[in-house]
Amino acid sequence: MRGYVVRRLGYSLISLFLLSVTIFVAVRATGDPALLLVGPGGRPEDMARARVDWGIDRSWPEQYLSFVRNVARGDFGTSFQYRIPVRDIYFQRLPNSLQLAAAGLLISLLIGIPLGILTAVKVDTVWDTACKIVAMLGLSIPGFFVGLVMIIVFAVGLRWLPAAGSGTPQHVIMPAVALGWYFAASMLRLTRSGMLDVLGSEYVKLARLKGTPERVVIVKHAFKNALIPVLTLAGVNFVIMLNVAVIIETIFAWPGIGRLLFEGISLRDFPVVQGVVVMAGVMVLGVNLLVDLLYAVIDPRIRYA
Amino acid sequence: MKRTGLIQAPGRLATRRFSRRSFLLHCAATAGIAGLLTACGQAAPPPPAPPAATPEAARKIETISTPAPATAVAKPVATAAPAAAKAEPKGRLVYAWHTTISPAWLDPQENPPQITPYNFAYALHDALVKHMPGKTFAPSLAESYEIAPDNKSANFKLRQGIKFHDGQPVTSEDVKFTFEKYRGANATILKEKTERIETPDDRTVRFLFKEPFLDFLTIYGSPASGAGWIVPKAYYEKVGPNEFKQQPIGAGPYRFVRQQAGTEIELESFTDYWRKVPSVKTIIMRGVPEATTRVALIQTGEADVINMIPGELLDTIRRDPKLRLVSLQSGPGWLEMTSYDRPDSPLKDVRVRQAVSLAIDRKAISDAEMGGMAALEGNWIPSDWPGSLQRPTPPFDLAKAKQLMAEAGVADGFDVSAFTPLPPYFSWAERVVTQLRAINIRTQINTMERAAFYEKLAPGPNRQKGFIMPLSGAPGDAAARIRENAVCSGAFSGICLPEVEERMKRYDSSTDPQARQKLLDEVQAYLLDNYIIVPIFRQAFSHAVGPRIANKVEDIEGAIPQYVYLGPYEDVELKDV
Amino acid sequence: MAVEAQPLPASLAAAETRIETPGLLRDIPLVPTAILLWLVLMALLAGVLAPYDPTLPVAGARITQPPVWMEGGSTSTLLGTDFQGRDVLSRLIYGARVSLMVAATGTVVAGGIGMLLGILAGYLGGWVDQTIMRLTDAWLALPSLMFAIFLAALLGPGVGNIIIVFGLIYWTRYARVIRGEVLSLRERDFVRLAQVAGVSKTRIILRHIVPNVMNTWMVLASLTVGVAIITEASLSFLGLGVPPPTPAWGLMLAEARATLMVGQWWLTVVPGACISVVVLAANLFGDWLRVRLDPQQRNL
Repeated sequence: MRGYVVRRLGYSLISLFLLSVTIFVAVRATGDPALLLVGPGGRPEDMARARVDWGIDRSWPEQYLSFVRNVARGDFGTSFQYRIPVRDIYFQRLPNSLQLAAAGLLISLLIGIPLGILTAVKVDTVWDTACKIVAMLGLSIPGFFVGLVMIIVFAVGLRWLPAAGSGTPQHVIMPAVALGWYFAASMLRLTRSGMLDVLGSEYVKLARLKGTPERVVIVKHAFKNALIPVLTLAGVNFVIMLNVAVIIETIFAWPGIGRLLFEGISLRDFPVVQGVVVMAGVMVLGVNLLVDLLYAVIDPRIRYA
Repeated sequence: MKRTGLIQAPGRLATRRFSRRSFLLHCAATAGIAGLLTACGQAAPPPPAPPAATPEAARKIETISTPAPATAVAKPVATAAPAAAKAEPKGRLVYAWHTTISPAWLDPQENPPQITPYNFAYALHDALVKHMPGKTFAPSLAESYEIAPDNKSANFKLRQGIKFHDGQPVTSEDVKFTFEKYRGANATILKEKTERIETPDDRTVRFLFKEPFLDFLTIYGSPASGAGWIVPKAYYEKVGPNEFKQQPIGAGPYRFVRQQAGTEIELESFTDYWRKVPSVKTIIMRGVPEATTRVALIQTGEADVINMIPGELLDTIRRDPKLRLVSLQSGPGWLEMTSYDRPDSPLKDVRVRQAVSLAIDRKAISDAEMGGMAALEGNWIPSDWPGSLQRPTPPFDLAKAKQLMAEAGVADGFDVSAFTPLPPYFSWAERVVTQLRAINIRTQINTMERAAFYEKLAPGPNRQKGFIMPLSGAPGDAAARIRENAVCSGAFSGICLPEVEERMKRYDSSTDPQARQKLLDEVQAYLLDNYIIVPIFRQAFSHAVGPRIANKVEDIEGAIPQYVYLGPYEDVELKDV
Repeated sequence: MAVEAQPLPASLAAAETRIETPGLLRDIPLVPTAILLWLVLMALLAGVLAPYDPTLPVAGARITQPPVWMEGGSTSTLLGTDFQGRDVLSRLIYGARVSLMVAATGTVVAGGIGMLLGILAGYLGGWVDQTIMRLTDAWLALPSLMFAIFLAALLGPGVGNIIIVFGLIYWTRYARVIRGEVLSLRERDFVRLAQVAGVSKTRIILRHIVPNVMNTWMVLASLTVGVAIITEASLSFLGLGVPPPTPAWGLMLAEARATLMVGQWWLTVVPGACISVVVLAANLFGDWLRVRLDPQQRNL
């Protein structure tokens, strides 16, 4: 077991290393940020000085080593645009993204799980297809379209909800729906799969034979066991939602890390882009690692895969 | 399914039933991750509390300053507005801004050659001399100033009792520091020409120049530079430039309270402001990049003022009786045909270039994109800029354009490699491209990021080819604009013509205002008459003002020359607060 | 902790034997397939079907003219015109071509890379496997939209660049899954026999492995097409996708988004509905395909 843990951890670290190098190189390939640092109309001397000040005149390997050393100390550098440590602005924005992702996750669970149970219980009927389509609509309608329509209907038209910004629970409803509906489909699928498996299992057959009412069978036996993979997927989707909400954040003026990354890319703010991407990588790799380790604990066979 | 690791087709998860222990382990793991991430977020230090301002209990009545004794001076001296008895500031105003709010804009020491940071300067800071409603170069922190007749020195007298937000007095040392450390637009020219700065006492500043500096006030007292916007020396030195941008202190009508970097800034009325006590207590400036959302915000009342409304939505604002639409003349957009000096290019012929100008239906573009509100000026330098040559709207005459093309021998037209507009003005560009098709000039829009665009404008062999459509709202005067766009060494220039170079050299060395103006006129006329620069129109920068604002719209929008945002902030009033 | 092995549920055991040699077209879902065919037709026959040039304003028509069934509409522009005066129907038809081309080509490029790497990793094993898997992990560590934005910003707008971006992002899902399939295929008798008989690795791969992973490949491809169309729309929304004035559904949606508010709803709803319908059809089709080609997956 310990061997597996060490190996698995090693893989994650290698992946993280590869990721960081890729981002590092790619970001520098977007061009020279000196003009943006100094402002349009900057003279070559100013730009040269800016490059020295911000350390981007050194060779790439040198910069990378410096970057790694700093990251080990938790320092992602100073943002070119915001002039504060990337760590500070990242963690300023992160709670907003966490809030949005949590709400989005809740929506995806609220849509996906009940519909998934329904499709499993009424497998191969009209209900099955109907529920699947509802969930799939989330995959099919672009999130920004959903978001814009909602603003117009619920904010401007009906005045039920605020149009944009953050702060109160009402502010998070529309962005959460726009974000979370997309992930409902995978929740549905997994719930359905788990439910169908368990519903067909010997254990449940026995419960039925014993005369347990169907509803109890579904809730007490099938659902609980089907839930585990769903929760795992929830964890993974949560991390993804954290990082891909850029369009929702733009539309709803939600100050999250997705928008931070997008602007960092546009403004060639190297430290911000590196920081956000590496953090995203850490989160995803971390979640995957934890999931794999937990599954290895559960099922020894997986260790040898 | 994003997590393909869970599905390894054709095998499947072999596990079926999990014991409760493993179930709890899973829950704990998921919760733990979320908790870890949240804890990390909360571990971030909360933004430091703003420096406590010492509120003055009693309100000082301002004295009306008497005009300084007349000297041979070109500029008149204005008087300070008499202040009413202090009213307690109340209420909250939300200004939805069209871009991310960069903290760099809160520090006038680094102001780029753009008008954008001046919105924050007018709110947070104050200048010795700045444009005010109906008045250019109005004395503000300075109660009076005089430029010597030989233009070799400039004297400023600061007002009595002016303070920074932290209670420290504004002194001549701060003015000197601000100037010497300034590194934004036009810093070089200001410092090169200045010999030294004398501060004989706390309220007097004397600039001495190496040679007659005719443009000093134009650069120092207008948004052409931020050198006149005074920052506190002691505080700035103590915290350094980066920290200053997080917690700026200035002498303006509003005090910084807090910011969420990039998204929101909160400001509070500074009750010791010399001119008057701003009546609105809190101003929140919020970055809302999505135009539709901004319009939604003002319709629902979540914002009181919004910027930059796209053409399609102007009617929505117009039709809403609660909202008032304002359009301010902003930066002009123009066309540059980069191959005009290549011998093998059809654009070498001035008739072809003229045909291009004649084929552009500027009114149609203005109607479509800016609700007809764009000023169709005949110059790429705004008509209200000092030194600008006034020209009427360029004509739209498709028949003549075709005729000229035929005369030049290119009736069948030709291809142009690319049409590169300043992002994100792609829809304007599309209209121009479509119109050019009518005279058989075929080209494709070339899109890129803003940063890349500015890089491509720099002179040199890598400069963007084909047609370029820049747009510039950079403040300044005609000479500055020519230096930027039309001389060999200009930051964004692809033009290098002896007729222009020679005249600009003479301009720089001349001290006769009339001779100088004549030279500027000649340069502009040359460029325009030869269609080397083809003006398209001036962007109408639109604002919508909501019902809670009590002022007449023209008093707070467009009242200040060369400034396109809300202001003066201390004059804004809210209804029924 | 011990885990009891579960006997295969009876329903599944039955399912395995139920489907023997499926005629591929049996039980095909009609509606999704029809929609997809219609899309392909539109894309191929765009030049014939579209009444106007999609990049030029329609002569004689107003800007944002409504569709023919609304007041102010005219039969010359059935679906009305957009903000530049261009015919919406023509843009829709040509846009089908662009959107489909971008999505399909991107999917195929990604699929090609992914299949290649997946087969190499699965079949050759050892350090090749390890390297490719680490690379896949690193790639997957970035959520795909984030990665797409990053790459699109790096490469710049353009149809070709978007295809490259898709290729670079989506190969991982193929690689992982196909590797798994190859791992099990490798142990099958016919492959073992071929190895023993001395057949070269390349031949084995080409003749035995590839045909057997094609099923999975097709399922993945049909599911990826939908994602690609949505991603193109998202990138266009951010200004990183197909550049104007090229007609593409996502770009049409992005360009017209302000008009949603002023009642010119057709400019957004029409391309938005097209995207939604096509992606839904692709997803349903892919779902059906997955079940059809691998009955064991029908519970997923």
